[in-house]
Amino acid sequence: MNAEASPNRGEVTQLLVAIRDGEREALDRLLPLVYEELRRMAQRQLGRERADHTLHATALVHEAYLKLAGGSLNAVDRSHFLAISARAMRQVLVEYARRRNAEKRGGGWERTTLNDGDNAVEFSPDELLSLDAALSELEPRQREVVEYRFFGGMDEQEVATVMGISDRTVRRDWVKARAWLYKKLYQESDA
Amino acid sequence: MTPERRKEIEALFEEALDLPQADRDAWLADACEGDEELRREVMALLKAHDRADGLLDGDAVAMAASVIDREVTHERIGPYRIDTVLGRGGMGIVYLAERDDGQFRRQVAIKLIRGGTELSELHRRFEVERQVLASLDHPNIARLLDGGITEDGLPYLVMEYVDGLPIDDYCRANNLDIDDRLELFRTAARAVQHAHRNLVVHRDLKPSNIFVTADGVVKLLDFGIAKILDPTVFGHSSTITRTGARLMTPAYASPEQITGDPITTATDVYGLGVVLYQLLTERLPFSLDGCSPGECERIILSDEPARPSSVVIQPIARDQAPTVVPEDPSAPGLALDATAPIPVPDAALTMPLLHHAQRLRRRLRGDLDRIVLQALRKEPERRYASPAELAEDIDHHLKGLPVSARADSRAYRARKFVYRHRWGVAVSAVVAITLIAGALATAWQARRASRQAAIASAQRDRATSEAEKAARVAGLMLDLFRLSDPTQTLGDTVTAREVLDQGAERIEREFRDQPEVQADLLSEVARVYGNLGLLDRSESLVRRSLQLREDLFGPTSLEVSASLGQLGQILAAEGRRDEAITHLRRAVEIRQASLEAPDSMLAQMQTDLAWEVRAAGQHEEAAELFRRALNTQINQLGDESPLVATTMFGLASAYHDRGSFDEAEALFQQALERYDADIARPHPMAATALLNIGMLRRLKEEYLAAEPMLESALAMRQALYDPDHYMVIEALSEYGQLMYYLGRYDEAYRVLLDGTERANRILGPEHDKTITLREALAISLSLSGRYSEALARHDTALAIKREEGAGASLLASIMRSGRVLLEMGRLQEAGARFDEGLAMTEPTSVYRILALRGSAQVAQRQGRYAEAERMLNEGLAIATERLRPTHRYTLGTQRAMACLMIETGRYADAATLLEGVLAAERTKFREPHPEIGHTLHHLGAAYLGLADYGRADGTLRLALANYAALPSTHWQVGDATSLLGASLLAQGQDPVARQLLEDGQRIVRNHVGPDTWQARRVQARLQ
Repeated sequence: MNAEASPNRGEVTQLLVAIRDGEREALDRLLPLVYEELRRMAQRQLGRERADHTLHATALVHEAYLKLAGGSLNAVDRSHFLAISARAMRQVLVEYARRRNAEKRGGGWERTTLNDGDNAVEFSPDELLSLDAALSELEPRQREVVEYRFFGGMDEQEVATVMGISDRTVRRDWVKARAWLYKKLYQESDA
Repeated sequence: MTPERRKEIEALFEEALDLPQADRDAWLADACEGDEELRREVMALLKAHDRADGLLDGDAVAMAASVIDREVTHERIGPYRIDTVLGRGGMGIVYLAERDDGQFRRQVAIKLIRGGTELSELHRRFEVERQVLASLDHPNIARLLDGGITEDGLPYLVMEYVDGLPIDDYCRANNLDIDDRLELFRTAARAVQHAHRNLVVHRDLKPSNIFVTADGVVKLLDFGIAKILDPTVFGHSSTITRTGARLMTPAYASPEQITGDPITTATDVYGLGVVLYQLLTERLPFSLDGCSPGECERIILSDEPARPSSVVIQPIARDQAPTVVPEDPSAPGLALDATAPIPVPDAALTMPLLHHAQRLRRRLRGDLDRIVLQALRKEPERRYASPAELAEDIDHHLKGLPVSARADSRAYRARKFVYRHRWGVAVSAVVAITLIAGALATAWQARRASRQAAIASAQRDRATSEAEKAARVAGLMLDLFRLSDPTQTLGDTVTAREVLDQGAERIEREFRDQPEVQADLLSEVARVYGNLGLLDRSESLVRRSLQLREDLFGPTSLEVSASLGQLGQILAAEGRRDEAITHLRRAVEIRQASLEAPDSMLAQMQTDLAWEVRAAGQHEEAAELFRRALNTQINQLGDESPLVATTMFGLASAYHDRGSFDEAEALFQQALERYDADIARPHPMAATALLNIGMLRRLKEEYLAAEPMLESALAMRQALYDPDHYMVIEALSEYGQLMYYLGRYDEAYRVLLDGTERANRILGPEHDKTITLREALAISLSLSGRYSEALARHDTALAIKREEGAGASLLASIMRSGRVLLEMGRLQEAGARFDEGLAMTEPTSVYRILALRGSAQVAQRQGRYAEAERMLNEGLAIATERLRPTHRYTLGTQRAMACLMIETGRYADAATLLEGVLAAERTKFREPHPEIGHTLHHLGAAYLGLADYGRADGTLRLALANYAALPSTHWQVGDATSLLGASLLAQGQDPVARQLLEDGQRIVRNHVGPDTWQARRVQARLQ
């Protein structure tokens, strides 16, 4: 079905199987592969489509999955893949925010509008970096929930499936994580 | 904070959340048992929670989009090789590039536009503006050389590259004195005037858009670019709903740009005023540094700028004084308040500075103060009426002649009238009148020519001299022109409507002695009224013309036929179809009887009639009329004529109505080719032809072939119409539906949701199109497994249709909701819907197949196998009789039959049947496609039943791959996963198999609940 085979596909498939069998190192080896693929696709797709369609993380991840793993994996591997992708997506974004920040300090940007024309950006690069830092301080399960939901674009149920916990737990963790993050990002700095 | 402490805080936080807001404080104080720090921490978290709503609700990817896409730079654009980045801005990037096709080496500037607006909208504006800009040819305006759309869909403009400095930098770098500066400025103002004469307003004039080359040549950059990017232009744009995001540079923005009032040529006069202020004083009229947007707005709207002479404290050129230019705008000495005394920064500098500043001040005082302030008036109509007038005043000043600029308001009132009519309002009236008069004159000439031929053939003798007639018509035209002269109309605004009214009245009065000419002119004025949408007025004039012609030429003359035809058109436009048909039929009859061979006018009447007849439901007569008209038009006008395309379109529509789909498609295709349109050159009829071809192909289940058609149709309509226009909504509906047939459920959902929301808002919730969209949206939801949302929408549509009574559409809605209930595992309710469907259908109706299939599936889940099989066989019999073997009803029923066979142990038969279904589906769909996934899923089960584990594994894995468009939480994914587990278990791969079986079960239970037939099935595999 997917005629052009990605050179990584065999490797990715093996790694996913290894992860399923509990090999931690496999995860470390897969992450950079997924990262690279997502970065490439994000760049290509966002440049092209952003103005026209809202692009969702899930769509990107999906494409990465088909590209890297081909179509022949089962749902469990798919879950693993989703989870890894969410983490990779976080890395991709943080990476961009860092670079954007560096560029801004270089002074290359001229604002020509009274209000910035980009209202899609709810976070500034600074905020994104603060978010990344604040995430690291969260309790691990809450952190994962945020990673999957926000960076992975998964819904509550998907998160529950991937993490093997109930919907309710996902929801509660989300509420708690969000309150902590808000406090960290906007209230502690005010004081 | 220790993890224990954190847990403690979170526990109290969660408990407090369950309490009403009012009770929280008291409860918390109590619960913390005096641990004040704990109480504070929980309170802070609660406060954060109350505000955190919406935090991280967005999509991380969308958020990063702007960050990412700005990093993308190009190596080539079109035939241009990029050398370097000249600049980046919020709205795009400017490259220095070179054309490298060997033809000629020329450096150009390429502006790549990444507007904050929807891409299709951007394309549309870009095309409109590009044509206008290309016509600007002036030595002081940087030329637009080329333009296009990059591979990634962004519009770009190729401009003449200007190697120079912004005008203010240039003046400083060359120590230009006031006179030199004024000369440069005057050149710039004249260039702006040239653009205005071509109806282009710059909208963003500022020094960085006015360049001066090393040779001292002024070049204006970026004409019209601001308009392409302005979200407030060209009506409403869907993605930008914020107000106040108008593109402008605050320091140079005019009051009307702040308030969002219309941008006119006066806006550029204001921009020029700011530039002049800056060139004369090295200062901006207002200091906006560090102001909030709100403060900026207030200042621009209400503060009066200080007189240029009052703000100068340092000379602007070296030959006038030693240069001490404070860099920091907040430094003392740069106070903006004109009434405040000028502070002196440093005693040592005081004397020479003041001395030279006084000279400069004297130079500016008077003429130049007045000129600048007049350009900077708040009210557009009080500024210079044009850049030319501004330039002229500068000219007068340089020559020592009196200038027109005035400071006091009494003079302003006296002059107000003249300003208003010199430009602005008067322009639109002149344009309208020119169009009308021009139309009248040409139409009349054409008529006269054909009339002379007619006269000759009828051997009639007319006494009136043609020359005299022509002279009188010309006189009328001239008079109409004079109406646009404000001195004749005493200051009242003249509208096109008034010009027409006066014209019509005078035609009635002054041409009484020449009824033939009078009838012609009335008919032409009527045509213009009709074009303006003033149908009542148009109709009465046509009737008057008709009456004159009946008296002159008799009731069966060609002249009368023409009037009848025109009247028919107007009546049709008014929606009075029966009257329109009567008049048009009569017109056609008369013309046909009087002519030896049909001509193009007859063809026009026939097509007008055909459209009405078709709307009245008489497809055969419509087709016949279109066919005849088409023959005539091809003979008379040639194959290339746009009318030929329109008539083909009509004929295709008539064919479609009577069910001749193949003929209709071929004709739409032929019409389409004639419009010669593409996305870059959209055409309304081409868009509709594409849509129709796409719909016809979808009806024929040629989904892959339908896709490019509907995609182009949607893109074209989005380029042509407002995003809320019915045409766009219709295209969204068709495209969205195709998306789910193609198995692209997410996209289907997005498109249909967008369409439904627009339809709901614009057409109302009970409009046919809204109902269609809502149901299509429900189908896309149901296909992705979002059953309760789907059911709610189906039920809404169903309720409306039940009120309207029975019909195919109601039946379809009942079936759809039955289908969702079945998938939800609610067998009783599903069964009731299908029974209702069975009761509503005739024994041979194709819709009966759906009812039979649904009922059979319910029966099977309830263990009534024999009954299920009987119904499926009945369905298959109808399908064989009435449908193609690859029709989706046929294939779906075969799949249901195979499923029943598997459940009753007939694995080999099931496999054979499914292999056939699969082969057929693979000709219709492109993989991955969930429909193919379903077939593979069943086929895997059949192979498993046959203990052919190798094939079962492979097939099930392929099924899962085809489920890519389903969410991973879909029960079908769960079921296929569990089957794969069962297959592995049978081969002894125990741990992996168990894992898959459990995963599958969890997915199914989470999706449809534990007490459903689906959950019981996966449960059974675990035991």
